[in-house]
Amino acid sequence: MRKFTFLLSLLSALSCDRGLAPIPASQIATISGSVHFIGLPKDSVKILAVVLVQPPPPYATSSIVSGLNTTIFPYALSTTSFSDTSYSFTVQPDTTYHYIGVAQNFGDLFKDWKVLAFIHDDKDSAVSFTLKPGEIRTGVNLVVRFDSLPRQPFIK
Amino acid sequence: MKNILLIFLAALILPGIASGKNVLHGYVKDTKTQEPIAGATIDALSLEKTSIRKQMTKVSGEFRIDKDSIAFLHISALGFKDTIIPVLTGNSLVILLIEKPVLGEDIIVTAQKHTTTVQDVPISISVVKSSEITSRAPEAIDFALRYIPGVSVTESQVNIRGSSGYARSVGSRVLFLLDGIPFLSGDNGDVKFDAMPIMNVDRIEVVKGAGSALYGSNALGGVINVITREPSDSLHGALNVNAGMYDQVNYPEWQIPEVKRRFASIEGGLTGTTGETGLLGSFALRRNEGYRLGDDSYKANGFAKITTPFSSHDRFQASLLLANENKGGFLYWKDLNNALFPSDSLGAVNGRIHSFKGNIQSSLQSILSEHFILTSRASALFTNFSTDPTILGGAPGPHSNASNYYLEFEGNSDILDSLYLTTGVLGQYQLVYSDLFRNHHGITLGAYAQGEYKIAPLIFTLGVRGDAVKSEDSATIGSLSPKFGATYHAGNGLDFRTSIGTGFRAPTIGEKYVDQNFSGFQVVPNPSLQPEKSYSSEIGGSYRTQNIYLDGAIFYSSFDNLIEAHFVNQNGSEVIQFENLTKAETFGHEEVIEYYPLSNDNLSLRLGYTYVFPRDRVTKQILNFRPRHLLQARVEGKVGPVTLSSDFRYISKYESVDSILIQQVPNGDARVNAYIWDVRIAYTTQGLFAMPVTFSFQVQNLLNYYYVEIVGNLAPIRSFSFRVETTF
Repeated sequence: MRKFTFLLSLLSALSCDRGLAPIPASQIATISGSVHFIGLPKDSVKILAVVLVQPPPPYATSSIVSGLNTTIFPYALSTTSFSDTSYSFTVQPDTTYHYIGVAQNFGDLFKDWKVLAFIHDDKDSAVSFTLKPGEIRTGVNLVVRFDSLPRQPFIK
Repeated sequence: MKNILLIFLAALILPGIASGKNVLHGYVKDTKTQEPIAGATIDALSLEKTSIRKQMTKVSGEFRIDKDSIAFLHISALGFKDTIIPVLTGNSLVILLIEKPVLGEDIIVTAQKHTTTVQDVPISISVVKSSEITSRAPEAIDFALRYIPGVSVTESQVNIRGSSGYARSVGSRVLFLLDGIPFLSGDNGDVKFDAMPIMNVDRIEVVKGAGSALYGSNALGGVINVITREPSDSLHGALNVNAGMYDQVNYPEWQIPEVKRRFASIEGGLTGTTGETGLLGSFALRRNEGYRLGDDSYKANGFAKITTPFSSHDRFQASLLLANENKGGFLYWKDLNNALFPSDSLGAVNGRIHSFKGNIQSSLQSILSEHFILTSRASALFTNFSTDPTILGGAPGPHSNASNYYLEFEGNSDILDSLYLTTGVLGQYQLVYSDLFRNHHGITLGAYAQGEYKIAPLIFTLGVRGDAVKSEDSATIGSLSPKFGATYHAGNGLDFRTSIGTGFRAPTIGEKYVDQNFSGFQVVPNPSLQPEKSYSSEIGGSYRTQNIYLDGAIFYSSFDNLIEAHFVNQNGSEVIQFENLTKAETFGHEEVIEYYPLSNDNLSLRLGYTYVFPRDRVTKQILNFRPRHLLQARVEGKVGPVTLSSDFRYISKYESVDSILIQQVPNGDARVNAYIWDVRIAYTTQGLFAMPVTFSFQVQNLLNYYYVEIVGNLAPIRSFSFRVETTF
């Protein structure tokens, strides 16, 4: 009987423990906003994405794809329709993200990238974000002017 | 189990080939495999059944015994049922014996490259029988390996006692054989588990510990041999249909309404013998919608085998295997809150992956004299994969075509009564055409010799193998792999063993020449990679009675030059390259208990526990992807036509994982201990036209426990399936 009770206890303990679980909403944070397009692209648009980058610029163009050493989070956008759209990132709280912008791939996946827009201050420096657990930051809006590219963050 | 073991004997009167009129000449063979049984005792009996004279069969299974005054022959061989036959008028006999599996005394072929029993080899062995494999309705054969004591599988890479971690499916540290012939792709050197003909697998033998002294490259941590069935004497067929679905996940964040999560398969096969030629064929079609978005698959495979004797002194067998797979390119999750969604990280988006595998192989066993058997083996394995564009109209992803050709000649001799010699030479040639690895070829030449010296109750084994590996412009790499082992039969079911063996793994063409931006990684070639080396040792013992089998071992392995991917700075850029980086060691112990509490074998229990301490010898850090504790338990009970069975596995949390992957995968560090419990119930009845039909219901991962095997990949969630099997 004791063995049976032990077995039942073990099974009930196991059935309560489900292993991995999503991170509770109170422990994550969100950045969201819109992307507004002015004009049309002049070269091919193979990939278009909002990118959220943890370390400060500059970056290697290849790191846009690999994410290595840069911890880049992309949010893919349509490559054919350039009407206004929205984006949203779930981010680690208490972690500083130094760059958020719209990046376009126009050729080689690892080499041919340019930034079309990014959130910057009056001095044209990228604005960083650090969110608290559970914080939802909205209205981080980006404006893409295809005929006027901003300062590029890439290593020359 | 034992009650189904009946004597099968055929005494065929052949045209007289004996040299003398009063000499009875014959062969003793295994009825199932037709392989000669060496060391069988032929006891010549009088009419009163008293012993007149005795003789042992040679390596060829041959015997010659004076016929005077003999009325009966009593034939006995370890692992086979004793039998007595009358001596008829002819002078020649072929005696077929049927296997008599005694608890823990399995007949194996992998450890010594010839038929022997588990107790006669100085290294730990596990054997999984077909009934256990098929009862779990696996989609691929790697699923069956997860239940073997001391074995864990990380995605598709097999780890025996901590010998291997996870290296992105490149370069297996366990040699995988199909009917004794290497079955590793020519480019990545990985195992194509989905190609294995599950329906026609007779058993899987797992040798734990370095085995390069007989098998050469890749046998760093062990050898796995998938042995297919022999054709049956009369026409038989089988049909299995399996259908099921994955359960819903418990967390709303993870739920994906558009994924139906269903899976189904159909397998069929026929076997029979015409004249002396045995034929066997099977097919399998599988569809799995997956439990994750973008992770579905279509699989198809076919297998055919022919066995035939060219004469009474030889036996030929050949097989053809074809397999095709089309699957989603799920690499890793988006993040832990979207664990069933694929990553949308730009480098992680993969198109669908298409792969094809084709393998043709043959072996010819020829008895050249009563003391010498020559076995020749040949195979050609073709593998191919290609990847669809990630976006409509985009450029296709990587592809590779690889061939692996193999030729081996093996000799077995017992010219001295107490010495059994196994020798062989072989060549292997790989050819790769790929945009991932470019176009390359490589060649391996090897030779081996092993002696087993029997001085009852001891058996000593001493062996060595030399290999030379060359790929194109690289220098030739040589490797010498010795081994030594001893077994001691203490009597009363008690046996002891000890061994020390060496292993090596030549770098694959994939590791040496990969040159591609793949999945976000810029990976560059390293043609100067050196082979990985290992040695492993163990001391073990086993004890068996009528209803219990105990086996235990302590082991230690040391590894040098382990190949790992890591970052290097090349022309100012951070790139990834495979390099010989790590020196490692593993030590631990393993215990296995099998218990049959009822006299009729209707209840069986098996428990295996393995403790491994795997660490880097330089940094003293724990090695990646090696669980420290592994526990596998199985219970099976039969009540009339109903069979109930259950498997439980505990895999302790990896203490360390790949730092590159963690950097790339959001929440890549999320991992837990794994508790996986499967249950199934089966009911067998005589169905239509008196064909036995088995209906079974199975729940896998009953607790719906969420865990990962590799970074960012949630392992299969709870699933329910229903299966119908029939044979005719």
